[in-house]
Amino acid sequence: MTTASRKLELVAFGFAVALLMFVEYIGRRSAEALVETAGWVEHTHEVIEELDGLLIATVDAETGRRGYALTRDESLLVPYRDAAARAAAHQKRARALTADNPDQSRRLAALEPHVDARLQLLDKAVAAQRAAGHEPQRVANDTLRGHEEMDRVRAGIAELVAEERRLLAERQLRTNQQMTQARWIQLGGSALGVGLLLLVVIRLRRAIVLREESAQLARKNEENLATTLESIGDGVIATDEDARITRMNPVACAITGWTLDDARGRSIDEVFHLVHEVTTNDLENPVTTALKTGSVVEIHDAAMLVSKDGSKRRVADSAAPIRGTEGGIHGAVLVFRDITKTLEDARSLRRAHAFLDSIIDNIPDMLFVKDAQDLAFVRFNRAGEALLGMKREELIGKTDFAFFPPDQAKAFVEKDRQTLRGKQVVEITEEPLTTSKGVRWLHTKKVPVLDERGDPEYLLGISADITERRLAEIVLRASKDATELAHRELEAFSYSVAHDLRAPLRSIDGFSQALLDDYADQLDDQGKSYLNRVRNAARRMAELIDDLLALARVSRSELARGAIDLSALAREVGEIAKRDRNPNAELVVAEGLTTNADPKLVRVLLENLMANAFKFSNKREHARVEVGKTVANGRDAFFVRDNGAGFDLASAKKLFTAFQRYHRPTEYEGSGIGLATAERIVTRHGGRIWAESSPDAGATFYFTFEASENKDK
Amino acid sequence: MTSPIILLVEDNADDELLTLRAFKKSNVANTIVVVRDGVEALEWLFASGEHSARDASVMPQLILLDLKLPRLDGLEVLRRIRADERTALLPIVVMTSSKQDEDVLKSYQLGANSYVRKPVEFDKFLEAAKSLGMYWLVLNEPARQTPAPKA
Repeated sequence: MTTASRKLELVAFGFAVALLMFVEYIGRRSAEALVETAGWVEHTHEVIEELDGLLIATVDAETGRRGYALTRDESLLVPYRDAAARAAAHQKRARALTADNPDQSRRLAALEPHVDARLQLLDKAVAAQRAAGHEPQRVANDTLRGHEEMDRVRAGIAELVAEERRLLAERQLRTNQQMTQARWIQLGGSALGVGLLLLVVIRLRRAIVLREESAQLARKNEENLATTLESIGDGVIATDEDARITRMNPVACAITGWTLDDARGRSIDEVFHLVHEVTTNDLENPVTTALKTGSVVEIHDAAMLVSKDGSKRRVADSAAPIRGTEGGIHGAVLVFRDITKTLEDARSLRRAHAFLDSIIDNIPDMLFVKDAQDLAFVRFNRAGEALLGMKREELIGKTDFAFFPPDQAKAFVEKDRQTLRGKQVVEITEEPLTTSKGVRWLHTKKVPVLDERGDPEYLLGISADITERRLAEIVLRASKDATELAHRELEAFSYSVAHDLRAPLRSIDGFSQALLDDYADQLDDQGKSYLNRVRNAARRMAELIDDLLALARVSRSELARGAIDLSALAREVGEIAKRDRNPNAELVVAEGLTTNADPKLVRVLLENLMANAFKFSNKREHARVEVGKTVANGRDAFFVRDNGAGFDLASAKKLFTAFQRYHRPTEYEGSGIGLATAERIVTRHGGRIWAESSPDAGATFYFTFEASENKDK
Repeated sequence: MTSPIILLVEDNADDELLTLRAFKKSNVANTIVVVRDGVEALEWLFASGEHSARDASVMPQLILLDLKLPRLDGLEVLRRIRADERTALLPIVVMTSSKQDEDVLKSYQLGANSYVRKPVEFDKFLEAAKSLGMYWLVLNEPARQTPAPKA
C-alpha cells in the first residue's frame, strides 16, 4: 500500500472519528437542551405557581378579612394572617426565581408595592373594623382602593404569568427547533457514519482479498523458491539476521553432510565450518561478515569446508545479506559449490600441461609452432633455442623474416604455405638454416594443425639438426664409393686372375708336355727332369691362384646361412681329399652332425681342413682322419683330427695367417692360404677356430660357427 | 661333305693349339673351325659379315665356347645363340679358365649344355678333350633340325 493512500485512509479515519464525536456532541447537546427546556418549563411552572400562590394568598387574605368583617369572628383572621405570610413567602420565592430575568424582576418589583398596598389596606380595614365596629364610608373608600389595588395585582400577576408563558413557549419553540436540527445532524452524522463504515468494510474486504491473494502469491513464491532452490546446482543456505539457518537446498545438504531438519535453527558456523587449507585455522564465516558489513562477501580462496563427518572439501563463492524493502538486513544467503574436483581437475590439467610442455621442451629436435595466418612463431622449444642461439622471447610473435636471410625466410614461408594449403605433412629432407653459429642443415617435417572445422590453425614444425649426420654421410658416401670402387676393382682383378693368370700356366704345362711327348728322343733324362720341374711349378702356381681366389671369395661373398648336414658334407669332401691326397687313410665321420651356416663356405672350410689332415698324415702307416663334435674350451665345437706330423703350437702362432707355412715346401706342398681361408670363414660366421697339436702327435682343429653355440644346445 | 664340325671359339692362340692337339691326340676326327672372338663366332654361325659366303645350312655338331672373349664376351654369344631358333638347340660346352661361381651359374642359366674348366695340366686337359669327344660327338644324339631356308 502506498503512503499516499495510507495518509488518505488515516485522514478519513480521523474524519470519521471527529464526525462521530460531533454527532455525539450534538446528541448530548440536544439532550442537555431538552433537560434545560424541561427545567425551564418547571421554572416557568414554579414561577407561575408562586405567582398563582401569591394571587391566591392575596385573595385568601381578602376573603379572610371579608369573613371577619361579616362575622367579626376573630378565628377567621387566622387564615387572613396566614395568607398574608404566604403571600410574602411566594413573593420572595418568585423574586428569587425571576432574579435572572431583569424584565420579570422589574415587573415583579412593580407588582410588589401593589401587593403590599393591598395587604396594608386589608390590614387597615381589619384594624378599623375591630376598633369601631361600623364606619361604612371610610370603609367604602378603602374598599374601593382595595379593589383597585387588587386589580392591579391581578393584572401584574397576569402579566408576569403571561410573560412566563411566552418565555416558556419561546423556549419550547427553540428547543423544538434545536431538537429538529439535532435530529437532522444526527441523521446526517449517522448516515455519514454508516457510509464510512461501509467504506471501511469495503476496504477491509478488499484488504482481506488482497491479503489472501498476496498470501497465495507468497505461497506460490515460496513454492517457486523452494523448487528453484532444490534445482540450483550450487549449495544454497539461507539464515536469519542472527546467522541461524532457515533454509538449505539439497546440494548444500550433500556438501555439508547436514540435513535441513538437523541444521535448521543452528548457527551457520556450526553447519558451514570453514578452515584454512594450509593452517587449518578457523576462518570467519562469510555469512557473519555479510550480516555485519551488509555487503557481499566472497568465500576465502583457501577455505576448506569441514563437513559433518569431518571430511574436508574446497568450496567457493559468496555470502550476501538479504535486505527487506526498507533496506534492513533480514538475514543472509550463502551460495557455494564443491570445487574439490574442479581444483583437482585443474591441477591434473595443469600437470598434464606441464608434462606436455616438458616433453615438448625436452624433445632433442627443434620444435616450433607458427600461427597459420601470419606465420609468426607462437611456440618454441629448448632445442630450437639452442639451435638458433636465441631465446624464445625474442622469437615469439615474429616471422622468419626477422631472423633469417630473405631468400631462406622466403623458402621457409613457401613450404609453410604449401603445408597449410595442402593440409598434408611436408617433409624437407635437407634445408640450410643460417644461425649465429653458422649454417646448420635441417631435416624438417611441417605438419598442418587443423581446427575443428578442418581449417589450418597452426603449423607445427619439427627440425632435426642433421649437420653432423650430413657431414658423416658425405664422408661415408665417399668412403663407400671408394670401397665400392675397390671392391669392383677387386672383382675385376679376381676375374682377371681367374681367367688370364691361368692361361699362361696352361701353355707352360701344355707345351712342356708337348716337348716331352713329341721330342722325348731328343732330350736326355736331365732335360726331361727340368721339364717336369717346369710343369710342377706351373701346377703349384695354379693351385696358389685357386687358393687366393677362394680366399678372396670367402671375404667378399654374402653370408647365406642354411641348415647343413655336416656329417654328409664332411664325408663327401673327405672322400675327395682322401682320394687326392692319401687313398689308404681311414676316414671316420660322426653321425648326425648338423649346423646352421653358409653351405658353400662350410664346404670350403672342410676342403681346407680335411685336405690338410690327409696331407699331413700321408706319411703314417695307418693314417686316420676323424670329423666329430666335442666339448672343448667349455663349448660345443666341431673338430677335424688327424694322426699326422703335427706341429709345435708355440712356434705356430701365425698358423692362420696367409702365406705362413710351418713345414718346408719340400716336405709338404701347400700355398699357406688354406688355414687363413678357414679362419676367415669361421670368423665370418661369428665363430672361432683353434688348434691342438704337438710335433709328431697329430693335429686337431676345432671350430664353431657362432659364439653362442653352446648356450643354444 | 666333310665330317661334322666342331666350332671352337677361342681367342688364345696357345689354348687353340693345345685344344687342337688334345683333340688330335684323342682321335677326334671332326673338322674343327676356330673363330677368335664373339662377333666372329656369331658371323660364322649366321653366315654374315666375314663369313657371309659360308653355307648357312651347315651347323656345327658342337660349340666349344670360351667366356673371356674380345669384342663380345662368351656369355653374350651364348645368349644370342640361344635366342635364335636356327641355333637354339646346338650343344654348347663352355670351356674356360675360371670356375667362378657366377660364371658357372650364368652359363647354365643362359642354356649352356656343359661347363668345363680348362685344367692347367695338359694330361687332365687331354682327358677332358677325350671325354668331351666321346660324349658329345659319339654318345649324344643331337636334335635333328630341319635346315633353315636360305636367307
